Amino acid sequence: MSALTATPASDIALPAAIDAALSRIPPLWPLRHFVAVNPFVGLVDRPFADACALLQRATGHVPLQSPADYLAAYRAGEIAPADLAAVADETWTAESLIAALENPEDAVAFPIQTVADLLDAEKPRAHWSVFVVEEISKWCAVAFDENQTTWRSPWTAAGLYAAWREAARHDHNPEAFGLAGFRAFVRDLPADSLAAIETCVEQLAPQAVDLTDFFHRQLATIPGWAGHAQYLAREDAMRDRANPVLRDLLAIRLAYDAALYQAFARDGIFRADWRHQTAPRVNQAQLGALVRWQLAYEAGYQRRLAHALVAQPSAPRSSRPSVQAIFCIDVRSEVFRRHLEAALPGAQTIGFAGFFGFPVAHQDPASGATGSRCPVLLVPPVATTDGLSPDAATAARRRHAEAGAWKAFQNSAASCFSFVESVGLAFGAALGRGQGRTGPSCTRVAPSFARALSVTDRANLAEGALRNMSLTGNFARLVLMCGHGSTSANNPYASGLDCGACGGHAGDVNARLAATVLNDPAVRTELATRGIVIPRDTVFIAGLHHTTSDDVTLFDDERIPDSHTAEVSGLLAALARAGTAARAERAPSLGLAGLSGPRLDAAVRARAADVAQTRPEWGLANNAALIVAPRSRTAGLKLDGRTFLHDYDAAADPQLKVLTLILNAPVVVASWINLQYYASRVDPVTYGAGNKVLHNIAGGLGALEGNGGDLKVGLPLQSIHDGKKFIHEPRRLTVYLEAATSAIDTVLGTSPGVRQLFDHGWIHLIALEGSTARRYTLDGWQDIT
Amino acid sequence: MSFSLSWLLGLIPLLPAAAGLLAVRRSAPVAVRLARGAATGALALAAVAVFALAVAGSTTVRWSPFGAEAPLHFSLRLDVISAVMALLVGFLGWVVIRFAGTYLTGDARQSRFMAWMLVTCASVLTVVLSGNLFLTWVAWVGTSLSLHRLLLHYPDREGAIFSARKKFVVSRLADASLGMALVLLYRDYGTWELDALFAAVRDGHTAGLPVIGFLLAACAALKSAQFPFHSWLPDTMETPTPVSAFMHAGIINAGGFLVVRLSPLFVHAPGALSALAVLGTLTAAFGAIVMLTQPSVKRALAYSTIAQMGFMMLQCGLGAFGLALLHLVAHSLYKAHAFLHAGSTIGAVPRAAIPLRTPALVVGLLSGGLLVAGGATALAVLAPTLPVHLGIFAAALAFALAYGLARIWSTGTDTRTVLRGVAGAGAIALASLALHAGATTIFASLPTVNPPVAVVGFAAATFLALFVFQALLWRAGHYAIGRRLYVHALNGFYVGTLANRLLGRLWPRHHVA
Repeated sequence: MSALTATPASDIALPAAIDAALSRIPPLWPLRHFVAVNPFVGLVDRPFADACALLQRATGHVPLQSPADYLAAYRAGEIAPADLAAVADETWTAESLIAALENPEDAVAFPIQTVADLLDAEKPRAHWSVFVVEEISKWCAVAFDENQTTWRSPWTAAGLYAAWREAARHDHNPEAFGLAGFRAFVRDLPADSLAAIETCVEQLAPQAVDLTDFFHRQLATIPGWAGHAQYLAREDAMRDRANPVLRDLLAIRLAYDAALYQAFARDGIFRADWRHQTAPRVNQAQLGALVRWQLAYEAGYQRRLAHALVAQPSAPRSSRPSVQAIFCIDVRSEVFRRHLEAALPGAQTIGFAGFFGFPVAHQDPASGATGSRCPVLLVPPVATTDGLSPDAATAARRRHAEAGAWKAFQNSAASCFSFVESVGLAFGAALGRGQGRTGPSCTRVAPSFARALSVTDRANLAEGALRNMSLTGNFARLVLMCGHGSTSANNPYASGLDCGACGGHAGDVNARLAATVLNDPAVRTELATRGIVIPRDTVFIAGLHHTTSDDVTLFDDERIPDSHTAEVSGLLAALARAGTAARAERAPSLGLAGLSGPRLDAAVRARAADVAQTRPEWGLANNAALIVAPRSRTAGLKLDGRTFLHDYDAAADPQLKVLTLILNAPVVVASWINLQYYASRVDPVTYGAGNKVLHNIAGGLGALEGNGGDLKVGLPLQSIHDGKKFIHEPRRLTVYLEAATSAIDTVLGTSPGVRQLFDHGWIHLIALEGSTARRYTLDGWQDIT
Repeated sequence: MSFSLSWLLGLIPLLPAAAGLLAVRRSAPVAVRLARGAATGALALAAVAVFALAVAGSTTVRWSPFGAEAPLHFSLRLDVISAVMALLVGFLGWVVIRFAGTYLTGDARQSRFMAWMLVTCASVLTVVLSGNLFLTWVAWVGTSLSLHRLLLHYPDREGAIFSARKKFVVSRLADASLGMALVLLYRDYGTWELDALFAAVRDGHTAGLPVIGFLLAACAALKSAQFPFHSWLPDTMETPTPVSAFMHAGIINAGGFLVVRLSPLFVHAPGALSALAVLGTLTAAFGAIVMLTQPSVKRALAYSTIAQMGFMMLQCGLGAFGLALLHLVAHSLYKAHAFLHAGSTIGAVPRAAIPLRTPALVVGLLSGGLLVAGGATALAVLAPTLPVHLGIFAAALAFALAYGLARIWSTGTDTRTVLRGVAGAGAIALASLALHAGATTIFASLPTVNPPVAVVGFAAATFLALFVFQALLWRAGHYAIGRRLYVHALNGFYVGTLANRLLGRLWPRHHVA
């Protein structure tokens, strides 16, 4: 209990501290295109253990399993003694590691305090920390609202802080709750958020804590809205626009703390307690043990998979495949590809990011809304839209306008009563049905470029796609570009089950565009001049793998020449057989173990349309590895839908361009997905989205849980837990990369962003060469035996 | 006949009650099957009861274990009110239990949830079927207490505890009002049997009713979330979504049911009715305005429910008991659907108010008025018995259509959209007026009153004001008063916060288990 000496705020470069704190906040995508985010994306510049300690100070929680979880895994043999021995060192022997779990240190970690936290501890009648979150959530929800309110905030054109300052000066709510002088306090705040932060810091004069950490703590009380603000700021930053929205939010959070301090500092004891705070405390020793246990927990799966992979070195393919089917690297493709290969011998399946190298911004002609259908690391350079005739586009816009008018009639203060009286009874029929929309969320017509692209530009897209998927020769007569999408009803998290590589959308638009471009004779002529010769008899066709039902839809088959209709029929039949087999494999995990045949098919499809279903499918749960290698390395292995599969042929990549791209894009995206699941699993309260049955959608963009509180981040409990047990095992991603270690070293040397993921232990890297597997460590490559 | 009818009516609540007792300690799959079976059974029995009513007419079955002279009888009354309500409750119970069986799969306390859902359903069915006011009171308390268990489905959630307590306090006040009314009724009439009470009132024994009416009205207002006792409702989102939907099966609208059920008594308490009409009007306007500002789906729906409950209470207060019942049923179906589908708003059409041009508003008002006048003329021919003063609801309809048409004209879309809009408005006018006429016919047995002109005028002025407010809403932000009003409306005019603070004093947080 030592009060540390004060650190006067003026001694610190305030803007630098603010920027450092803001950079730690992970973005949160809106639910209409919910993509996985690494919740530690702002912390990867430090080792995993250090980040855990920092998070314990800022949030009070560490992203690790509990001592009891590790102990149970050890006793059940999931962690082998050898794995434990491998992580032991001079500080921690295997015995002391076990002892650390059996008698966990009860010293309570103690995060940095906000004024609201301290008030809660000292004045338990109100609940200020909850109240402050409610207030901020209220103002953020109305500021960012996308479609919910009829009466929009009058200040949406202003910045977040300016809007809040204008609104809060009229807000009696804090005073009604007991926060005296709030409106006057707001009126006196500076107009600029940076100046406001400075004012609040001067008043609060946080003690015994680094200012950056103090700001981090403040934002960690509202991680959801902070994440949304970071998302908005990031989208603008990617387009070279500055957006201070997250700094604005920090100013607002600090203002509530400062207002509380001003209101309660008359109480001498409280003032003294704030002035002489205890420094935050971290369970450093226990943390060290748990970090080692997590490594040991990951080692078994890692080693077993390495053994399986080295047992089957890759071999080049000599014959021409009957069909090539390119699937997304998504772990759900692994199951389906395996069954498709079994159903259609002679076919070759290929793994590549499901946007197929066509990064597009696709516009819905009815609403005019545009969505990025590409990995979120990119700003899509290509604009597309549905290829509708002018009449059809007009009709779509008219339907959209009519839907808006109908909604207005339903929800206005002038008409809501008559709406209920005249059409309320009709809802009885809908209630009786209980089934929602059954179709997938794909567009009916083929996409087209919004602006005509030159042959060179189209060929550039095509060339990039083919080279990056290592498909530059030996084309089959039929090549399927198979995107994926999910079907579920009444599911706010539906887009989270769609294709992450398509920015949280189904992959149909990208696949259809890719097939169209690759079938274009002019593009092929141009490609031939660049060394990629696509045979005349090769036809590309687009499809969509419905991951909920394992059905596959083929698109635009009217464009298939007669010469290929037999192959397409054969492919369809094989896809159907593969779907049946994939459903059978997934049935036990869906609670449909007893069913088979048409009854199972019907049950799986009904599930997708059931408005009451909170677990339409398991998404990417239990993902654990990314394998970057030719398919022959993994062919025939049953990988249980836990591995991302990316094809890569090192021989065709002498300049390491493809390897560089793979390490910088698919590896990063897979790490985001993996760490999203990891964090939601190890600490569902801090990093998960809570219970779906309590979700309340705010602003059409995010979920609240229960009556309010902050926007939820991460994955809902139902996405990782089946009611009895967690479906996702929290293992940090292991990347298995079939390439020479020297080549990997070269690429990592020029890619510091990715390198730190491995150096700092956020994910693991294992190189596969022939029949050896070597692990990347800070001390060099080590053989896995 | 009477024997089998007793069984039929008795089984409607007994079946879910028994299944609830059986389900509570069973495994979740068994509990779900039990609940779905019982809910299907209760719905089927309710449908048979409607059929029996159509064949045999109204009747009361009675079991008097305490003797014919005792005030308490187990009386179940089958008439048009109880049949409609039992069908509604049975249907929503069936829908919600079917939904919850899937929705809560994997929830550690699902069996318990299904069990309390069944018990709540059984209690509400008893309330709506009861022919004895003491039985009604008991079932009413039972509904509240079993709902309390559902509100505390997640007993560790602080918000759940808090909102359940808030609801608890309001419910006990309502129980007390009804209890006092029961005491006075027994003093004046010596019975709690509805048929005996109604007969006595028909014979002119009405002296005590003005006072009793106020107690009953207070109970109705407390039960149906009338301003300023509404604030527990938007706070009930700490419980699974199906509970919010199920609350529309005769729980949140129980106040309206009570007034309709006891309308033969209420017509002799004009003061109480006028008070309900005024309170209902205020609640409707309050809820409708706050609803527009709420940024989350479920809170917006909750305020919408408050508004609709106000409208229902206004209909009761003006003596339009049949229309109130029609509104109750229509709103329940609509709102249960809205809650169960509350996960479907991602990517929905934005609702933000768009600029409404003045010519569009004028044309909207003219055409809305014309459509309603045309419809009303048609209606006058079809249903000449409709009381004249109910013109206020036609006026409300005209304002609603005027707004909808002005909204269409202001979107700047083509003629086809406008034509379709006018056709749609005409269809809505006809549907609404036909349903009014239908309800008046079906519920012809309900009494009517002539409300004071001032009360009708107040309600009419309020609807006009709501229309003007909605028409100006798109530019509310241009005026300082509009901006301030926005902040207050967003906060629900602070009623919830003040209530929370009061409750926090009465029942401090650190006593939370």
